Amino acid sequence: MKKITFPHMADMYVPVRAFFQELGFETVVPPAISKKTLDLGVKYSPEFACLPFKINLGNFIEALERGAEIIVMGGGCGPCRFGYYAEVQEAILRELGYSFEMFVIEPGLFSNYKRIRNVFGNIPFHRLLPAARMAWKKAAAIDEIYRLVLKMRACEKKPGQVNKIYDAFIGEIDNTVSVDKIRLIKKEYEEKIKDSKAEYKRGIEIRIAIVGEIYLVLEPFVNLEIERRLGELGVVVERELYITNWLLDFLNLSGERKLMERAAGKYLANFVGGHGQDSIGHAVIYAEKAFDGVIQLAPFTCMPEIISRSILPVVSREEGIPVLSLFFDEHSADTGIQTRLEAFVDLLERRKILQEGSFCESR
Amino acid sequence: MKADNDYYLGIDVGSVSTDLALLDSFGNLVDKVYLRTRGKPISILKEGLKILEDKWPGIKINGVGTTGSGRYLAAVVAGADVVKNEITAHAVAASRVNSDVKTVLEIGGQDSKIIIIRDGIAVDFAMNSVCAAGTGSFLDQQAARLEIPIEEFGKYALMAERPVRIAGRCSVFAESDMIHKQQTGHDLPEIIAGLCEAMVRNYLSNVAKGKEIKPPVLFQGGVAANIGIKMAFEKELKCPVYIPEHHDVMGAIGAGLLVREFILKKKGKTKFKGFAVASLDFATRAFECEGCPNHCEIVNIFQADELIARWGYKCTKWDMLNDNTG
Amino acid sequence: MSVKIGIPRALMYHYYYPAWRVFFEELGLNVVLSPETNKDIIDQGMRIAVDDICLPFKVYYGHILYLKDIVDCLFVPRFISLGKYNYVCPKFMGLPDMLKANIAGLPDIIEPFIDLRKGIFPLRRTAHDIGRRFGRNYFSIERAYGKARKIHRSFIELQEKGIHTNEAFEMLLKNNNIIRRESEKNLNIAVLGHAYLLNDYFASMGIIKRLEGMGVCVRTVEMYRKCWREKAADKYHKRVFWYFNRQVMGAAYHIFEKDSIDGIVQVTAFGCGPDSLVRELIDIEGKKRKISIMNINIDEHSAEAGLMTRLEAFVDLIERRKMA
Repeated sequence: MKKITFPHMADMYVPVRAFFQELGFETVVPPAISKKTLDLGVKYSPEFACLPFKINLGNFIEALERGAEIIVMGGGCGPCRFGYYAEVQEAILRELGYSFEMFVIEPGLFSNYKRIRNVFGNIPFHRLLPAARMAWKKAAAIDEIYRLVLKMRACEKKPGQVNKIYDAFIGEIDNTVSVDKIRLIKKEYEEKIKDSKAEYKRGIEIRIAIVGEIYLVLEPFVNLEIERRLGELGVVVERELYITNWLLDFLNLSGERKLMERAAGKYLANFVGGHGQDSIGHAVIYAEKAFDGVIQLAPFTCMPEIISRSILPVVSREEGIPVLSLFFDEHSADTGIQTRLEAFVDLLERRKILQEGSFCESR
Repeated sequence: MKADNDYYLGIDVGSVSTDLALLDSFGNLVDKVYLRTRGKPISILKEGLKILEDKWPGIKINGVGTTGSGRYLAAVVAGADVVKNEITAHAVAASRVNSDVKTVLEIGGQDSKIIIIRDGIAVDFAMNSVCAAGTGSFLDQQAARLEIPIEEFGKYALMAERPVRIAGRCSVFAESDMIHKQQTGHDLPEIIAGLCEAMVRNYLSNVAKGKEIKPPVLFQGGVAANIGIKMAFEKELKCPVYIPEHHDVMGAIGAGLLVREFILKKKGKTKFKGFAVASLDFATRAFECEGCPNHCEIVNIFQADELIARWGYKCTKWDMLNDNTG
Repeated sequence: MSVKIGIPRALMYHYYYPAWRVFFEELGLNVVLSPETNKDIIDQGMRIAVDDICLPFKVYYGHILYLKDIVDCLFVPRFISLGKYNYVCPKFMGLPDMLKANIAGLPDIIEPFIDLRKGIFPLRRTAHDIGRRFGRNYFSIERAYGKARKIHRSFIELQEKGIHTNEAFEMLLKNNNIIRRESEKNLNIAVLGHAYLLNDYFASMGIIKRLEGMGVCVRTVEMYRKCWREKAADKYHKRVFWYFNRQVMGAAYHIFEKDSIDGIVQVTAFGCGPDSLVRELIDIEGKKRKISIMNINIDEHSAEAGLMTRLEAFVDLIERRKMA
C-alpha cells in the first residue's frame, strides 16, 4: 500500500490524517512547517510564485524524503493561482528527480474512476462515509475550540496559558480513534479554557476581525503568528474563515456567501477569485457588527487580494472602521509586524476610549 | 500638583540613534541626549544615563518609558514602566507640540513612517516595507558616495537652481542613475537637491501611498535636520512643513509623555532601577536552539550573571520568564 | 458635439482597439485615445496604484488619469472570461471597482461585463446595451457591431501573417501599408509575453524594436495561429485557465514542436500572478528540449542599460550557437 501525504494548513492535518487512516491508508504527515520548509520551498519554487505555493512545495519535499508516495493536493479552475499549483509543483518535483503520484482534488474528479483506482488501489467504499464523518467531527471540534481560543487569549489568567491548553487539545484529538470521544474531549477542553478567564488584559474589550486569503489567515507560520500576537496584546480576534466554513462554502452549503456578496456589492460587484470579494464583504459585515478594526492578510502579489487591498481604504472610510493590510512574503520579519500590530491596537484603543468617553488604563 | 523635582524619562533605542528625554512633572522637555547606537545599544544606553546623572545629580525619576526597535531591551536594562511602539510615541509627542497636527512625517535612519492624526488621536499610519527607499540610510549611502558629510547635504541642496531628476526607487538603482548624471556633467548641488527630491518622491509613493496628507504637517526624525528634504516636501505637498524644535528626540519625548500619563493614572511606584544602572554589568548571550528545524536564535540577557530576560523563541521550551515586560 | 469616449492606450487596447474604435465611431461617438505611454503617465499611475500590482495596471491607471478630465465617458470593460473554461487575470475582473476606489472625479464609466463562458452571443447583447445607452437604434448598432467584428477578424489575420500589433493598427485604421524588412542575420527569436506589455514601447523599454534593431526577426504570440496555440496548449498540461497565458503557453509548445526558432525571450511583468507559474513550466519544458530561453522581468524601476546588455549577450549567444 502506498503512503499518502498532503500539504499543511494550520491543524488541517488532524482531520485529513484521520480520514485516510479510517480508510486504512498509511499517511506521512509532513514535518511541522519550519524555516527549513520555507527555505526548501523558496529554493525550488519560481521566484515570483506566491508564498503558499512555496510552503506547499517545501512540505512535499520533506514528506517525499520521508517516504511518501502519493501527494494529495487541492486544485480548481481559476482564476486564483491555487488552481494551477499542483500542475507546476508536480513538474518541479519531477525535475528534482522524485517519483510519486500526484492526485488533485478538483471538480470533475469522479468522472475518472480508473485514475483513482490506479493511484490508490482498491478503496473500501463501505468505510468512506464513516471516515468522512470522523474527519468532519474532528475538524468541527478543532474549529469550535479555536474560535474560543481566539476570544479567550485576550483575557487569560496567565500569559500563554490558553495556548498550552490548545496544544494539549490538538494532541488528544489527533490521537483519538472514536467519534464519541471527540465530543467528550471538546467539552473537557472547553471547560478548561473557560476556567482560565480573567479580566481583559487591556482593561477594555478590543475586537479585531481578520479577513484575507485563506492560507495566510489560517496558517500561523506564514502570518508570523499574528493571532497569538494579538491575543498577547489583549485583543479578541474573530474571523469567518475556518476549514469547516470553507468546506461548506466550497460544497455550496453555506448561506454566508449570499450575505457576503450583498455586503460587498457596493464596492466590488463580482467574484474575483480566491477570497478577494469575501475580504471586502466581510469587512463591511464586521463594521456593521461594530468591530473595532479589520486586518487583511494575504501573500505578496496575490491577485484577488490586491483588488480588495485597493478597495479596502474606501470601505474603511465609508463604513468607519480602521483597516490594516498586511502582505507577506518569505522576507517578512517579526519586528516590523509586531510594531505595526502594537501601533494599530493602540490606535483602536484610543479611538474607542474617545468614542465611548470611558476611562481606562492603558498599558 | 506635584513637586518640581519629579521627573520622567523617555528612552528611544533605535537602530541608528539612542535618545533620552528628561521631562518635568508637567511634561515639558528639560534635557535631551542624542547618541549614535553604533550597534551597541546596552553600553550606549548606559552612557546616556551617565550623562544625565552627571548633569542632574540627585533628581528623582518618577517613571521610565521606552520605545524604538530596541524598546524591550531598554526596558529590561533600565527598568521601564511603559513599553510602547514608536508609532504611538511619535504621534503622542507630535500632538503635544501642536495640538492641531493632522499629519506626521517621520523619517529615521532605517525606517520611516507616516501618521495621520485627526482630533488629537492617530487614525491611520504606515511604515516603509522591506526596502530602505524612503529612509535616512538612502541619503547616508549617497552622501558617503559623494564624500560629503550628511550634515552639509541641506546646505548644498539650497544652492541648486534646477534639481536634476534622479530615477529609481531602491538605493542601488538610484546610485547607478546618480553616477550616470554625474557622468553627463551635472554639478554637485543639483545632484544633491535631486537626491532629496528623489527621496521625498519615494517616501510619498512608498510609505505615504493613499494617505490623506492634510496640513498642519509635522516633519520629525533624524532626517528632519536636512533642510533640503524639508524644501522638497514643501514643493511636493504644496503646503508648509513644520519641524519641531526637538525633532530628533520626538520618540523619546513621546515615551516620556506616555509614562507620565501612566504613572499619574496609576499612582504607582516606578520600576526604574536608578541611575546606578550605568555602573551595572549587562551581558547578552545568544545561541541557536537545535530543538527543531526552526533554529530559533535565543537571546539571554544577564545582569551581573543573573538572567533577567530571554526572547527569540517560538515554542514554550524556553518559557521561563512569564513577565518579560510585554 | 458628439460624445467623447476615452480609451486608455493600455491593457486590452492592445488586443481589441480596432474593433472598439470602429464600433464607437459607427455609433457616432468621438473616440479619444490617450497618447503612448510616457514617463509622466507611469509616474502618475504609480502614485495611485497599490504597490504590488503589476506594471501594466499601473500604466493603465496613468492613462485613466490622463483621460479623465478631457472626455465625457471612459470605456473600461470588465473582463471575466474570453471563452469556455477560461478566465482572465482576476485584476481585470475588479478593474472598474479599483479605479472607482482609487481615483476621485472620474467621468461616467462604460463598464460592460465581458463573460464569454457561455459563448459569443452575450457579446452582441452587450453591444446593444452600450449602443442604446447612446440612443442608437437596433439597426445602426447591429451594423456597428458587424463592422467591429469584421475588422477584428482582419486584425487577427494580419497578426497571424506576421505583422506586429501596432503595425496592424496602422494598416487597418490609417490604411498605411507596412513593408516588413527582412531579417539581416537570419535569426528568429520568439518574444513571448502579454501583448499589453510587449507592445507598450515605454513600459517594455522597446524590447521588440531593440531586438529588430539588432537584425533579428521577432515573432510574437499573436503570430501563431490560434488553432495551433489551442491545440499545443492542451497537449501536456492541465488546461491553463487564464486565457492569455494559455495563448503564451500554446505558442511556446507549438514552437517546441513545429517551428524552427533560434531562441525564446520570455518577458513578464513583476508581480504578474499567472506568469509566475506558467513561465516555470515553459522553462522546464524548454530546458528538456535544449532551447535557449532568456527570462526578462520588468517593473517600473528596470534600467534600460541592463536590458540592452542582456539582449545583446543573448543574441550573440544564439548566433554563435547557430554557427557552431
